[in-house]
Amino acid sequence: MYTNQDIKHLFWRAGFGFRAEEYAKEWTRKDALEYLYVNSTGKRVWKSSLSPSDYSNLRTWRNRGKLPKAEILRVAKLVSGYRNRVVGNWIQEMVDTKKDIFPLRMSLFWHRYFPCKSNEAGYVADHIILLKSKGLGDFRSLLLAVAKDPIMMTYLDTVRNKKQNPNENFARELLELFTIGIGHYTEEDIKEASRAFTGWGFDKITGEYQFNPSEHDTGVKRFMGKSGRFKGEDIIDIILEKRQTAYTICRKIYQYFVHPKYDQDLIKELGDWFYESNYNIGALMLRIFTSDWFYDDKNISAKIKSPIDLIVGLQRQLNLKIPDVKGYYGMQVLLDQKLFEPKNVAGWSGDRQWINSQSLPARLTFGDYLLGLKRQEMVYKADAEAKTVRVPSKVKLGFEANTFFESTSRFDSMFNYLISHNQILSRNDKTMTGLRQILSSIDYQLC
Amino acid sequence: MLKNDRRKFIRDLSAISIGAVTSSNFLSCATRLDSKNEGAQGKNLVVIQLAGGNDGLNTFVPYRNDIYFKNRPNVALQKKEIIAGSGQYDIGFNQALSPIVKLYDKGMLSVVNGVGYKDPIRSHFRASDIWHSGTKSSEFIETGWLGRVFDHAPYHDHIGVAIEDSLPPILKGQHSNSLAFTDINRLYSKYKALEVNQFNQLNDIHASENYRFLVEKLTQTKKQVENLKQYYKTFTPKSSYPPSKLGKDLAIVSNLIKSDTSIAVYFLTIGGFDSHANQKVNQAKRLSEYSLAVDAFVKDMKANGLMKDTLIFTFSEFGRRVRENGSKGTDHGTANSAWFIGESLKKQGFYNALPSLANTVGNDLVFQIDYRRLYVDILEHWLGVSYGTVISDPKNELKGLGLL
Repeated sequence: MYTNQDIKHLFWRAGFGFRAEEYAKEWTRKDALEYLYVNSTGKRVWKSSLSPSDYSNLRTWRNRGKLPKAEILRVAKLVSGYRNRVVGNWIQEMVDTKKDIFPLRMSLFWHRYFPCKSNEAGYVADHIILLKSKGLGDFRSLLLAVAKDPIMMTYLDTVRNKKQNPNENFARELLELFTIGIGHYTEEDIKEASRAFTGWGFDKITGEYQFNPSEHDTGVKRFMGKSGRFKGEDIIDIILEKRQTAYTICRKIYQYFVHPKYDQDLIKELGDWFYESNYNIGALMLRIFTSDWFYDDKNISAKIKSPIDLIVGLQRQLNLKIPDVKGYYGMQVLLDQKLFEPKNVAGWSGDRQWINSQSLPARLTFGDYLLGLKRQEMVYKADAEAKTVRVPSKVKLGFEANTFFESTSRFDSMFNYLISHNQILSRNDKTMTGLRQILSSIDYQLC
Repeated sequence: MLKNDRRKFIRDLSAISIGAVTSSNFLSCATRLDSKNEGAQGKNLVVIQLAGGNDGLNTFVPYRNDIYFKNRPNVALQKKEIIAGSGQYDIGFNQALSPIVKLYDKGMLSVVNGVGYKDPIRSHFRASDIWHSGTKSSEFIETGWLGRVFDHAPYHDHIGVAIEDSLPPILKGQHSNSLAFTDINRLYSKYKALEVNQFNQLNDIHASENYRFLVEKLTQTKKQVENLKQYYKTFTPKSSYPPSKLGKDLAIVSNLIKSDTSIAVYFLTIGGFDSHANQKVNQAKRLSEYSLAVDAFVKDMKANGLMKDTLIFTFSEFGRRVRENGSKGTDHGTANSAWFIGESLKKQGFYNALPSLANTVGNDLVFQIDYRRLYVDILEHWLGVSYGTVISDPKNELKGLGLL
């Protein structure tokens, strides 16, 4: 049976924290996992947040070379805001979702795992669908789909990888970041693998994968002790035959979902299991979330929230809704994580790396920022002195203070502190003063 | 110039109250600091990374070597694009470096060629991490070699500063707290507005490691930013800095140095060196930006009598292949040149010849000099610390080059 702390932990790691109405329910382990949709088989059909007419404008844009200048300017104006809207809609889904909590958390994880950058709204929208729909299936299909995705093929130069002039960028990151990891392959493996991926490309108008046989090197490649006339797919299969690949993937999953510091034995055990399951991601995640060690005290609040965790979690807990999803871009800049704009090909290493001298103050005052307190500081200061002020009616807050910290003991410490310093009257005191104290606390930075 | 013992301290050791790490795993087997415990010497180290992998062969050019021209029909620099060097090694300069050539003529430049390490890595961030961490290519550690300088006496009450949005690995220490910013006033106003919640000081046995980390980070950084704001002054420079990003960044460094604080190391980057395509135009632009900014900085420092205490070290995460690629560029390579600019260099000009263009491995230059030997020079002869406290070298293999 779960304790209250366990449920909060699960909701933060498999989702983005509790909504007040979710917290009000009594949960069993089975209920919670089903609610979060961890048991899903990945059969759900996902829709793009772009409309057919948006796509039509984007296709016109991609084909703009043949258009008169005035027409190019007209279309440019139309499509210019699409990309931030698409990314904003993805974040909004994480805030709003009631049924797809875990698949959305998983899509965010896979974006961290396969970092890539693009300004092309249509490709971004399609990439997000890919991560959502394949994120719980088998790793091979996911990896292959990402490898053939127009954003990834552009970002890692797969489209420039030609028989006459191989470009090693994708092959290197495939081995180093996406699969087996550094130390388990040679420079020769990279050179040979890049030959196998020559000829890969995509249709510029539709974004669909295309294989160009005339650019493909059909010769024999020697890769990881095997030789043959390998194609890109064969390379991926050879990498997946190595158990080390399963270990490396499991280590990254563990560090993201369980604890930044990992235990080598546990990773091996999980990795072997993942390998035997044919890289079944959904099954692996269910195994993690149903293991007793997942709920160990040392894992509670062990992670530093990512900027997106803060943005999404705070809105869920407070039942806030921002007027326009374009506003999410400013928040991402403020907190220093812009989706589809990683700082380098390694993406975001997370945890303590989120913290720097600039981001730390921004994170600690993010509650104020989101509640719009900054602009009206004077008014609220006066109110805060009265200490009994209710949250103004125009800000619709549905917060349940108990959902803010996972750790029961830390929660107790905080409330005892706030009560003893007359900051709040009781645990049920839903005043702005208490709320601001909670949101600017170090504990709130953790999950 | 004020003596070091009067330097204004940014770091406040009393602020470190919670969770301070007392022992470092990394150094447990390395030589401990010698007991003389001299004070920090009032020296300034300015480190500039040419990010993206600068092509060394088109920076210091083997302009009398046929192999160079044969391998680079589109990318090789032509006669009018090269300034011939005067030394024994037949090395010319990319003409974009003309202000640097003037420093060379004055004996203020010392270039080391063929710098690299065993089992080279061609990935940008991993190669960059190696240079930052000061390890072998097979070692992974989270701290940077300059960050570790501030973990120990005599520099434990000093810090480094990166003119960047976030702290690069090179300045990360075990428990030292170097700062990153691009605008001091903006950073200060952020921390000023921050009410340090008293609850944030509450520490109980349930608090996780990351909790302790955050509390310590917050307390220390707030104090340091306040100190920095108090001591930072802007001066009218004695030379005009170019409006480029590096020019602006170096102008900030100049003010920081003149403000005479306990900052010992400054880190800056200039990007755009990943010249896979149209290299000649792109690299010349970036090298010229670098040269003009550094030239202004050196003039400013000299005019203020500060150059004798200032050393500039420039490196890039890797060099590039000898042979050009199909898009008038070059791909990621290995060994590269790195250089010092300063007033009291022991070996001026070129320290050694360029690595052989004939005996390459997979078209890559073979490294001649372990990059950490340059660090040994900096640590022992510029900063005055014993290198064993910073660089792990259990077999005592690393020897300085005697450049400083």
